Amino acid sequence: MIGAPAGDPALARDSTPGTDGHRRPMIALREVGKTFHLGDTAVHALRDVTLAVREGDLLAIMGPSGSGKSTLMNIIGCLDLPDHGRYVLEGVDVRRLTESEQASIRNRRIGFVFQGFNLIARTPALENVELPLVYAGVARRERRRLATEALESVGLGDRLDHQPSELSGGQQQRVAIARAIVTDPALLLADEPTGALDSVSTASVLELFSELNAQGRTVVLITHEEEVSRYAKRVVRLHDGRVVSDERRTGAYDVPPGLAARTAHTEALPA
Amino acid sequence: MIRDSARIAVRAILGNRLRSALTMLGLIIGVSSVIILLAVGRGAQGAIAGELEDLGTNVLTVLRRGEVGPNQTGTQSRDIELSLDDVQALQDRGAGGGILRAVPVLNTGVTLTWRGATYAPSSFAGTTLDYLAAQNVRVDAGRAWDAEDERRRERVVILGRTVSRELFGSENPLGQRISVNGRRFEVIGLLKAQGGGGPFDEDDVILVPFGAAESNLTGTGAELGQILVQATSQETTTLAETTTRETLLAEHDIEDPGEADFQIFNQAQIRAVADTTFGLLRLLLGAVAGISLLVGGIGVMNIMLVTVSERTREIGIRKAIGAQRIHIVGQFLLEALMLSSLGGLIGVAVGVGVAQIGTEAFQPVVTWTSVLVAFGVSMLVGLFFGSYPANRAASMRPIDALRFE
Repeated sequence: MIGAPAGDPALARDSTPGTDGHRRPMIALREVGKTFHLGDTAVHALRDVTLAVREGDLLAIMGPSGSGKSTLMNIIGCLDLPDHGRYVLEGVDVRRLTESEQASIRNRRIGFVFQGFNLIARTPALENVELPLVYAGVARRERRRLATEALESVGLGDRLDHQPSELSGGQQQRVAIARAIVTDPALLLADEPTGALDSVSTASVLELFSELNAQGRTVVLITHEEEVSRYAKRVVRLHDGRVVSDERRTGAYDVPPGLAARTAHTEALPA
Repeated sequence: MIRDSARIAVRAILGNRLRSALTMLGLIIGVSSVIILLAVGRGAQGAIAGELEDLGTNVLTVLRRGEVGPNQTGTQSRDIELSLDDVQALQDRGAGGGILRAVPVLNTGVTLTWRGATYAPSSFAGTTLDYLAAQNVRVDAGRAWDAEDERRRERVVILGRTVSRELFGSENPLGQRISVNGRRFEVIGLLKAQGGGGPFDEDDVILVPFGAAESNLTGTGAELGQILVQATSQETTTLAETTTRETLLAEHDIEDPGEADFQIFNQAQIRAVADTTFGLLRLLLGAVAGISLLVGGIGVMNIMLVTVSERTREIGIRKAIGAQRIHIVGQFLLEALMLSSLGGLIGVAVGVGVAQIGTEAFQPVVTWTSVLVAFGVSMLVGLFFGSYPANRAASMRPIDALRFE
């Protein structure tokens, strides 16, 4: 199912400027729209968004709140379906998938990192990271090994048995990242991953994303912070549900993020 | 997978100890009451059956027709139907007809008084010494009357323990003179306690020699209340019943057995009636207990619904990272099952424990069936009432669940 040929030549033409063209896009959105109804008023969260993301990119989707970026992320992450338009992920038209197949894609092909960490309470870090493997049906011993490796790779090898409440915000977000990468997904989706972190944690979390991207993973960051976008290779800006700019940065890593200059953020952790 | 779900469920249950305990309480009460009430029903039935057994299964009771029915009024009574002649005729058939002995019993209402204390026993029998043998009772304090007493129509009585206690309290009744419907009788003996309480109290009885009862209480030639016919053995009971029927029909000059003016009861029939009654009683008790189990199940559903809505966000996270529908259903169903089976186990322990407390009258009897049924039903209740909340959790869209605060 996953990785099946696209079978639609039209998709190739969807490649927006900025993609290399010779590589198949990992994410291809064409004229995607989403409307929410709040009582009598219709809110157009997305209007005809066309976007292609190639494999191995580090994309930042930016925009003020209400610009539709979270809706876009939910659609890219198969958490929600577009009202119209097409979304093809790794050559598969998501709208044709059953609920169970969508769950399967979220499980194996996509890693989620949320602003609020979204770890399961009262559950040790290791078990949190193991969870996607549980749902993937991986055997216990293998699960433990992979989860331990993932936690070690985010620098939390010594916090395996800590519960979320015993970890700092930055550490919790690292656990969340470990959980997102434990199934070795091709795509990492992060929704305001640093929104609840102080500047030091923000820097280390963003560096972690850069590293993961350097290892070949496609990373999509949703953010409204300019500092975060400095880590991106490509920045797409949304406004009122439309793409208003799309620029590719060269030498993204050479630009000092200047995060150190940022004034100390009070640590805003969820209770 | 099951192991992981089990761990998640245990964590959730332990994370809300008080709530889990209260949820289980409903099922604990339900399961234990099923076990206790069924044990009480079974115990009471056993006690009655045991008492019937004591009477001997080879004893027949002959009553006038209509005696036990509501259609006979006093003014309608015709000639004497059961008489001493009948008793003599039955006695004459003897062992050849399967009859060991026939015992006449005079019944009448009596009021006893002693030093201002008054008591009306539920059962009075003016009878012969054979009565004790037929009813399988004996005198264990004082003495029974003898043939000489009987012949001289001595005014003596033997009391059951209940009568003795009601009239004399802690004082020794032997040798005391009591008034029976105004006539003075001497207490010469006490019957061995039979046990059995309430309306089945076999100790609530007073025995008077037949002749003395006739002369002093009922009047000579009175209608017999009943005739007890004891067969020579349990095996000859049917023969004795046939003999009795033939003899009495002949004595009463009745040709059509359908016209018989008497009825013969054997212990098996009485026992069948008692069994039916207690079966019904057990059913009622079981139904009441079953309802409490149902209420417990609704409690489980209530709590599971609260749990599901409380953990909406968690469900969203699990779905976002790839949980399938069955994973979510399984997790919540397992949690409901754990609550209900743990509640069921505790309920079994409580029920079996409480059922050990017996009374003088009888001991509740816990059966394996009732334990298994009660526990099984509590599991089913958990499964049934857990499935709606579990399905509700699984049907949430991940996006809505994640957005939930």
